[in-house]
Amino acid sequence: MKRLLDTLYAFVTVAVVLACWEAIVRLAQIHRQILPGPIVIAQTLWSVRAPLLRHTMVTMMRTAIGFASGIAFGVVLGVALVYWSWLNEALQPLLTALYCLPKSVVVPIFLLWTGLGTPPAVLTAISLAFFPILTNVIAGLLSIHSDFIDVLRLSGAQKGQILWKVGLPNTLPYLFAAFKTAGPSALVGVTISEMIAASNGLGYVIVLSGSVFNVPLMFASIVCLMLIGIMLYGLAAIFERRYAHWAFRGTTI
Amino acid sequence: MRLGNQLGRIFLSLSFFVFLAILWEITARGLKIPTPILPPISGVLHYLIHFLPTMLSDVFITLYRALLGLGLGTILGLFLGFVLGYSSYFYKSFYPLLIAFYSIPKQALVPLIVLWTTFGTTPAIVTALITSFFPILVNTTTGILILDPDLVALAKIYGATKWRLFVKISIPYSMPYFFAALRVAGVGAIVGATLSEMIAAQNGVGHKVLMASVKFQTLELFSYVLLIGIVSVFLYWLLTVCDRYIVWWAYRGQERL
Repeated sequence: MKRLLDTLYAFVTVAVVLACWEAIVRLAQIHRQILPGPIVIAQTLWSVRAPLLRHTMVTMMRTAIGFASGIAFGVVLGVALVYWSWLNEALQPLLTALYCLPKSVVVPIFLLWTGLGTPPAVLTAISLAFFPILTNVIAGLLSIHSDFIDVLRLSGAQKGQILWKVGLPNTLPYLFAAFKTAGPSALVGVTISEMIAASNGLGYVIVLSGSVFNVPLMFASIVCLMLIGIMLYGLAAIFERRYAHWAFRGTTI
Repeated sequence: MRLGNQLGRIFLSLSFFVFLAILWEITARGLKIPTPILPPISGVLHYLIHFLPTMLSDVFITLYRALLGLGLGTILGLFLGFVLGYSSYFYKSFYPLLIAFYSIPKQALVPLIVLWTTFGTTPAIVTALITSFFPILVNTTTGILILDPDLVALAKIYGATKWRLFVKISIPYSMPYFFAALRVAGVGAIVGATLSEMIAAQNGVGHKVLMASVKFQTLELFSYVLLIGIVSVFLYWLLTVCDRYIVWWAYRGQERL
């Protein structure tokens, strides 16, 4: 019942905000090239649905590739950094520096090396999605209960065996939690790159529609991006609840 | 942590940077990679030192835009975070909108901001504001909402009103979350400012980087990337120091480990 009420609240707020938006646009007679109302945006979405869907698919594909590669790199490097702690100490400052480096200024370098379109988008997505995965994998591996390690050491387990048998399962909840940040980050990377270095994808459509003052199309593309973002976050949340629910057992009981 | 240990660590990481630089130099020169693709680092450093004054003027322009946006975003994010944390009605109503906005890559709004606020400095500031606003808002709200129930119970036993509880307990306890978000927001503000400069500006690092890339001026491109990278690391470090000194009590447990 309480949950139903909360959902109701949410729907009412969204509806009120959309209605106010439409009302303001109509009453103040704001031109659609400055701020289109929700109805105009919905009409635009419908009328250009075929090409928009194509660009959305392109962006989604790039995000998926970047996200998946980011996970792979993050997990491999995270495990390596925990396994060889000297490597961690050597790489830590470099990783901090790379984390701080604004990814927007790196896009031109990717553009220079790999040309337009998918390669720079995927590389930018990896460079953003990689960090939350890495930090969470390291945090997960380091948070193994010390009793477990003692027991395994007493039974003669190697360092690699401890990491594989206890570290990895222990890390899964952390990893799945990182998906919720890494997925949207990959989308940000793809969008940035598409705005600067692509001839298709939603980022490109947004910049293009801006330069020809087609604001309704711009809003329609932003809505598509938002839907991808919500989908990524939602999928990660569902995935987390399904496959890491055992980690939260304690909190629900 | 013993001093010798710490010195060893610094030495290790420094030598790794030197190793990378040497590797870069050897790759670029040894494989005879043409400068328009990968210039040797010696060339980049030479360019950097030679043109530092002109480059710094662009860096300061970008930094001014990013920091002004960050400042405004912080004020706005903190204020709204407090409102959402204080009133569960506001929280319930605005949370879905927040999630919707949070899911849009804020960087995608740059062309729209450019249309609304013309060219150059204003869109860069607004973009930096928007990119830094959301992490701060989300973290401040989270920090207030996941308050230890024992503390709340204790305050209530002592007869604290909702407002006093909020000011004396909720706000201080949300500060570690706020400062953690501030570090992320600092980097985000520079991304926002540079991206806006790439799309609509005649100066600033973003504009210069894109122009250098289009003209295959890799020496200029890498110098600017290196310089803004150093500035970002410095900003991040500064915000980390703020974090450690202002909410030092949040790290008490970790220091002893």
